Amino acid sequence: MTDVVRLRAVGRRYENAGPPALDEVDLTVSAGEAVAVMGPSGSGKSTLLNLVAGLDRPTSGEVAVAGTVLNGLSETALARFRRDHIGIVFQFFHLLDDLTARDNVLLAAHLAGMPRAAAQERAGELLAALGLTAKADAYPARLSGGERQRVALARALVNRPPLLLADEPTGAVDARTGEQVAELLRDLNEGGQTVVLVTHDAALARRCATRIVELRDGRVASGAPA
Amino acid sequence: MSRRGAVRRVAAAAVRRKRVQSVVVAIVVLLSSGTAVLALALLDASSAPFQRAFDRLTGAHAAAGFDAAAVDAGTVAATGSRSGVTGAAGPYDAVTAELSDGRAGRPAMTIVGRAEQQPAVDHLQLTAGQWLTGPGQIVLSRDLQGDGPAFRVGDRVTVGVPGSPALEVVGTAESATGTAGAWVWPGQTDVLHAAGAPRERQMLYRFAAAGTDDQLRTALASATAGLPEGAYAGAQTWLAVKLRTDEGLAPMVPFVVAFAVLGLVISVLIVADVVAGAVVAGFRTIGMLKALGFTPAQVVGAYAGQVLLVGVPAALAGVALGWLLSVPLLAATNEAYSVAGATAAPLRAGALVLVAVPMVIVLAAIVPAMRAGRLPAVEALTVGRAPRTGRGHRVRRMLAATRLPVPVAFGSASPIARPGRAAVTVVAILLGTATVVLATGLASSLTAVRAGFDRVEAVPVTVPLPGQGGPGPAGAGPGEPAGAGPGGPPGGEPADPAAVRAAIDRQAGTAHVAGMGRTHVTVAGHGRDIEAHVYHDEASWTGYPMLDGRWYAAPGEAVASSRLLRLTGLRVGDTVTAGVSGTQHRLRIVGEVFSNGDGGTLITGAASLPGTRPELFEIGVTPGTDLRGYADKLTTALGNPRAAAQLTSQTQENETVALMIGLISLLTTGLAAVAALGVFHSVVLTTRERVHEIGVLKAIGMTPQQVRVMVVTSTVVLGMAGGALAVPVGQLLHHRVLVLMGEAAGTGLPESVFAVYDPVRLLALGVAGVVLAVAGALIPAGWAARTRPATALRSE
Repeated sequence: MTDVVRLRAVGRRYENAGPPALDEVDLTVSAGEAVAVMGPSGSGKSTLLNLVAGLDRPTSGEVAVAGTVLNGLSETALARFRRDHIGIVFQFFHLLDDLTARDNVLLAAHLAGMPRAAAQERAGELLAALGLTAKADAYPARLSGGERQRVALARALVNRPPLLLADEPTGAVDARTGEQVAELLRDLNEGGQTVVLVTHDAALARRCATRIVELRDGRVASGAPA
Repeated sequence: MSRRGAVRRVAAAAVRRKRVQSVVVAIVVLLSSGTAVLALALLDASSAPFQRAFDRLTGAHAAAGFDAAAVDAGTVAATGSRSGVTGAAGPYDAVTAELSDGRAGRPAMTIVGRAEQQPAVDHLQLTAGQWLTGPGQIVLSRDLQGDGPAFRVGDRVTVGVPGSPALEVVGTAESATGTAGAWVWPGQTDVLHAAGAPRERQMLYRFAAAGTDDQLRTALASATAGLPEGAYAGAQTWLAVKLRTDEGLAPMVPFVVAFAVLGLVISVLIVADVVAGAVVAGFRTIGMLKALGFTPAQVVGAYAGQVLLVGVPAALAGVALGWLLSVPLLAATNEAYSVAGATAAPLRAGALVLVAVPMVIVLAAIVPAMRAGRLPAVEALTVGRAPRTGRGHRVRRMLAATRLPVPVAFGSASPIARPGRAAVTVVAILLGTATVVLATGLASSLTAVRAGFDRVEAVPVTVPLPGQGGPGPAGAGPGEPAGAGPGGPPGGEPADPAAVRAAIDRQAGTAHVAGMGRTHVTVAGHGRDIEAHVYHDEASWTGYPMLDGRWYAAPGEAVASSRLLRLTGLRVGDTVTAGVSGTQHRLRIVGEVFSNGDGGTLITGAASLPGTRPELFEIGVTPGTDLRGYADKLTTALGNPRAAAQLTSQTQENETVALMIGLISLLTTGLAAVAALGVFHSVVLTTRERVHEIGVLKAIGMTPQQVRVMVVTSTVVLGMAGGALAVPVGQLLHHRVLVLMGEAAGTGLPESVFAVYDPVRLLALGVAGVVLAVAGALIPAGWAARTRPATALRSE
């Protein structure tokens, strides 16, 4: 099976004097896997996710996604790589308040250079699949937390990325909405989508992930099937 | 910690934390304070000395001359009681005559018989020696000491009237308005009543309304109404004297003041924007301060205090900078006009700026700071945690739906989200660009002024004839005096004007030629000599820009320079009696021309003012003539080392224009930099507020270059708006400032001086707004582009 994510001896240090946020982390995620990265606050989960997403750079080691080593890429190349290969869902959704739900989804497609008609069709499909057709023209301020997270998911998937990253996707929604989000992620993975999920919600990890990796003090403490 | 200490500590912490804003405020306050000091220094140096002397010496609003043969002293004295006259002195007998000490002479001047040193009007202040005590004595005006050989107290001088009486110089005195060149005892009849000498009676007035030329004309008409025909000869007004006294610096005042006001307005806008931005960015802090117990007034104090902590030292530095700049500027101006004026900005100018500028910036800061004071703590604490609603949705969505690239669409919509800040940025760009429009226009206008003075198009070549009592070859242009310095006239026989004229006529390429002689005339009622240019040939082609009326066409007609009309209060249509070497000539002024010459110039033909010889030949050439070749061949043909042809363009130097252009360039650079800083600061604030959004955009694939384009595009829209508005505003300012400069310089200006903007230039100047906006946005755009997405996403 092809490795979608491969981390080799990855370290990330924010301050020279302080302890590293990540220390000598080795991790491989194969295509079709759903990996949940767990750990207490400050264990390095979000740092790891940022490095995989190319949002941050490691201090040491090597990060490769979909066969491309990210370390040497320029910021521009990283941005282009993200467009085509990575979808990200954030804890606080990070939707643009000035755009409707549909325009938020279309934005990512337009940045990736998808033809307008194709982008409209793809956004419509995703919003329908996520039960948001009726809310397509609503602004984020008018959506519930669960709806916002579904819009964020649609935006993450619009360019059909081989890798979906989710950073505490249920952290800012109520329990019922959290279950819906978990259901969606599981369905996506069952459809072949590779997912890396960062959470400290053990129930969510168990429901969505095929494997759980536990981080403690910046190191991989354990990695076992869910 | 005391309550006040807490407010100060919060303000000081904000200054340290917000270094960019603090630096921007410091720079704009420094530059605008410096410009304000410079403006006040020029304003003070240009008018204060005269006004102070005028007030102290109870100066005369008008010194009127009456023909002694046409009206008796009692009738003239009665004019001092007419309606509108608030004070009067005289009448005094007066005569126009030259003075000499046997070796050298002084030009003709008004000599007044007057016993009182301090009558109701026109107190005389002794500057040396003593006041008159009886006949045989003369007191000289200090004003005239620079016009010829210096006579000292104790010297004996001869008065140039029949009988040549000799008098002892007993003192020198200052009259605020220079009512006479010298004073003698009223009983000095051999001077004042000398047979054959042109005699006058002088009356000095102060009027209830004397603030403008029209008011003075009306007041004089009222005072002299009903006098016999020809009795009232004319008057020298205090405004004309003020104009002559202020001529060095006064023309600079309008544009320096305009630049100073523009600078202060931009500073106020930027300070308001800085504080508004700090309030918006510091909502959480405001909430916490209030939760800790800060009152609304203390919150306002903390935010306004941030500006004050930076603004006061910056204003202090600006005052020092302005003071330092005023030293070389005033020195250069004094040198250009050969006067001993102020050497630096007065202390009160610095003190005024030091008080006013911090007050203005605090007022500018208080308005946005009050928003922080009014904000409820809970609302402040929750800002940013919930999605924003409201402004700009529709526009942004509309632009997103267009086929514009995403960064361009997003950038274009960005100003809508903060319309207040966008408006401030537009105004900063507007004012900055208007400054550029004004400055380039003024530079072109000053070049047009120089062209108007030089008449280089009409008179590209001249042949001066030294030895005719006229100008030498170095430094002379058409109609202008020249020195005979190192490049002065070589030895040899003076050239024969007729022979020179014939040689010029024979020279291929000659289209026109006019010989011109120069003389000084006295005009009744006006104390000083007036320079007259007397043409010996048809001279309507000589290129003087006409401001009013027409060129002289018949004997008895003359044209006057605009400055002469301002200095004398004469108008086109008036007739003057001009005296040359004791002969009186009646000249009707038929036109007003734009011409150089500090004291004004009267231009006429030899038939109107006989007795001069050509001192200079002004030459017009046929189109396509090689000027250098023409001048060289003509010089060879003239065959006389004392008659050489020269190019007008190489002989003209105008220190005033060069000084003004230098000052305009300096101020424009400063103000454009301030405006660019305003844009820079606005973009910094917006970028900081949007850093989270930028993080999101980067996370979903926006490249650094696209981020840069997005940020710059947001200011391009504002730059286009500011530039478009700046063009008419700048043109309007240019027109107004030029009019004021002309008034201050005591001259009307030809249309060519105003019409300096063509469509291509206006378009380019409009684009300058975009350039200014982009220049201000480039650095923060680079910061935004380089921001790591992970860092940006962490910030709120």
